[in-house]
Amino acid sequence: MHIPDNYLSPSTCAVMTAAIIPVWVHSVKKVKKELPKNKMPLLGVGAAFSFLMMMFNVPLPGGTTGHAVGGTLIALLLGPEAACISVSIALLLQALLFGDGGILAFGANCFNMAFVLPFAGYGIYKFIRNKLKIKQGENVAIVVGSYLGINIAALCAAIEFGIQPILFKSAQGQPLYCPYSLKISIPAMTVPHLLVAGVVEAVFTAAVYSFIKKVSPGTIYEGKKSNMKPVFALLAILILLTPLGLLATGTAWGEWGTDEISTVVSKGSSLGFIPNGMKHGFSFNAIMPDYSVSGIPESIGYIISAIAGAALLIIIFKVLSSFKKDVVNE
Amino acid sequence: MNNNILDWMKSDEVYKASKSSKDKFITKSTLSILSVLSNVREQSNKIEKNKEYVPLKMILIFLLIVLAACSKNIYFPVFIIVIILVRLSLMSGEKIRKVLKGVFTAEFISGLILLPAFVFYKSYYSCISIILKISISISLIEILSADTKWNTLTSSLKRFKVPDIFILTLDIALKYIVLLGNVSIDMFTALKIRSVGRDKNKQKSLSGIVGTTFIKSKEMSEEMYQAMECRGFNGEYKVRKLKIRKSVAALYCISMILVALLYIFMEGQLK
Repeated sequence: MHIPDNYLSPSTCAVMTAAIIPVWVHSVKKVKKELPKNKMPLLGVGAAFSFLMMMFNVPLPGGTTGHAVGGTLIALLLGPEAACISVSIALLLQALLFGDGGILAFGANCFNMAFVLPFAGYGIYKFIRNKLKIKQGENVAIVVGSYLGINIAALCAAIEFGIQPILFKSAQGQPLYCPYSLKISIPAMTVPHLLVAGVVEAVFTAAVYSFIKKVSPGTIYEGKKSNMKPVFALLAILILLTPLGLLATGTAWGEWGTDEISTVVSKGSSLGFIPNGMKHGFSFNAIMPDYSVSGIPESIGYIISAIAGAALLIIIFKVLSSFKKDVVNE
Repeated sequence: MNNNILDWMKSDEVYKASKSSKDKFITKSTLSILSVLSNVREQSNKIEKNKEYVPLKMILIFLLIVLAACSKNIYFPVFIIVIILVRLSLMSGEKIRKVLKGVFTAEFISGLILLPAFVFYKSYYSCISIILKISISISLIEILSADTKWNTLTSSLKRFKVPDIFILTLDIALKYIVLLGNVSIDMFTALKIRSVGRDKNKQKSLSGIVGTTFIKSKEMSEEMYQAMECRGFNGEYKVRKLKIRKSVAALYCISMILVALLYIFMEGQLK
C-alpha cells in the first residue's frame, strides 16, 4: 500500500499532505495532553511493531504482494491518535532510509495508513464492542475492526491511484502518472486485501493484542502489572522472522519501479509504455533501498534493516518522551 | 522638625544600574563551572550495575572503535551502528539524549572541517565514512560513560597495567575539579556582589581569580599529598579483586571474537 513517488501527481500529493496535517496537529495535541510520560516509549514499541509487520510481505493472487500494517493494533493499545503518530513516523523512516513509499507521496501514504486505517479500525472496534454483548464480543470487534480498517485504507489508496488517469493526461491522451483507472485499480487493490492481507492483519492484531493482554496487562489497563520483557522478546522474534517476507517475490500492486511498469500485465495485455510523469519524475536515493545492503545476502540485509528500523523507532520515542514533563495528578 | 532635614536628604534618589555594566562574564563563567560541577556530581550518583565487567567492556569498545576505524568499506561500520542503535534503544530517554548530544556535536564539528573536501573535491564517500566512524567512536564512549562512574573507569585502567602515576594524576584531577570549582565559584560570587555600576576594569579581576585558584590548588595538593603519605600511601594503587562470573566473561570474549570474525568477513568478502 506504500505509494511510490510519481504515481500520484504532485498536486494530488499536495492535497493529501494538506489533508493529513490537521490530523497530525490534532493527534500530537491529544497525545501530549493525555498520554502519561511513562507510556510515551510505548509509541516507539508500537511503531516498531508496525514497521516490522510491514516487512512481512505475503503473496497475493495475481502475482503481487501485500502486507499488514498494524495500525489498528496500536490504536487498541494507545488510542487512534497515538497510532497515527506511530505509523507516520514508521512510514517516514521507511521512506527516508529504505525507499519504501515515496517522499512526495508521504502525505498520501500517511493519510491511508496512519489516519484512515487506525481511526476506521478503532471506530469499528468501538462500535461493535458496544453493540455486541456476548462473551467473545471484544475478540470479534478486534478482528472485524482491523480487517475492515486495512480494507478501507486500501480502498482509499485505490481511489487515489484511480483518479490519476482521469485528471492528468498528456496532449496525446496518455496518462501522465498512474495509468490505471478506477475500474482496474479498485479491484486490483481491494480484492487481494479482502482475501489475504486483511486476514493477515486481523490475525496479527488479534494475536499480538491477546499476547500483550496476557503478559503485560499494564500496557492496556491502568494500574495493572506491566512487563515489557516479553513484548521485546516478541519484537526480537518478529525481527528474526522478517526474511520470511522475502519469500513473496512479486512487487506489490502500485509499487512497481519505472523499469517494471511497462511490462505489468492487466486484463490480459501489458501496458507497453512508461507514463511520462514517471519517466521524468522526482527520484530519491534511499540509504538502504528495498531493505537491502548491496553485497550482503538479501535475508541478512533484511534482518539488519529490521533491527535498525525497530531500534531507531524506539529511540526516537524514548527521546521524545524524555522531553515531556511529568504530569502530577491532582 | 522638618527644617532639620537636610536638602539632599529630601530629594528623590534616582539610581539607575547602567545596563552596559560588563559583568556578564561573571555570570557566564559561574554557570559554566556549575555545569561541570553538576556533571561530576551527577556521575557520582550513578547506580552502577555490573561494574566488575567494565574492563571487559572497555576492551570490547576499544576493539570496535579500532576495527571500525580500520575498515576500508562502509559495511562493517554500518553493522556497528546497528549494534549501537540496539544498545541505545535499551537505555532511558534522558541517557539517550545525552549520548546523542555528544554524537551530534562531534558530527557537526567534523562536518564543518570536512566541508571543503565535500564541496571542492567531491569526495562524498570518504566524508560520509569519516563522519560515520567518528559517530561510532563518540557514541561508544558516551554509552560507556553513561552508566559507569569515573572512578570505576580509572580503577579499570589499573587492570590494563597503566602506570600508577597516570591513575594518580587522573584520580586527583577528577577530585580537584570539584574542589577548585567550588573555590572559584566562591570568588566569582564575591566579585559579583561587590561590583555595582560601571567599571571598565572588571575583566581584569578574572586573571586574579585564575591566579588565586592556581595558588590554592598548589597549597591544597601539597597538603593532600602529605596527608596521604601520613596514611601510608606510597604511590601504589591496589585494586580489589572483584568476582567475575565466568559465563558473562565468556560472553564478552565470544562477542569480541564474533566482532573480529565479522570484520574479517566483511573486509575480505566485499571489496
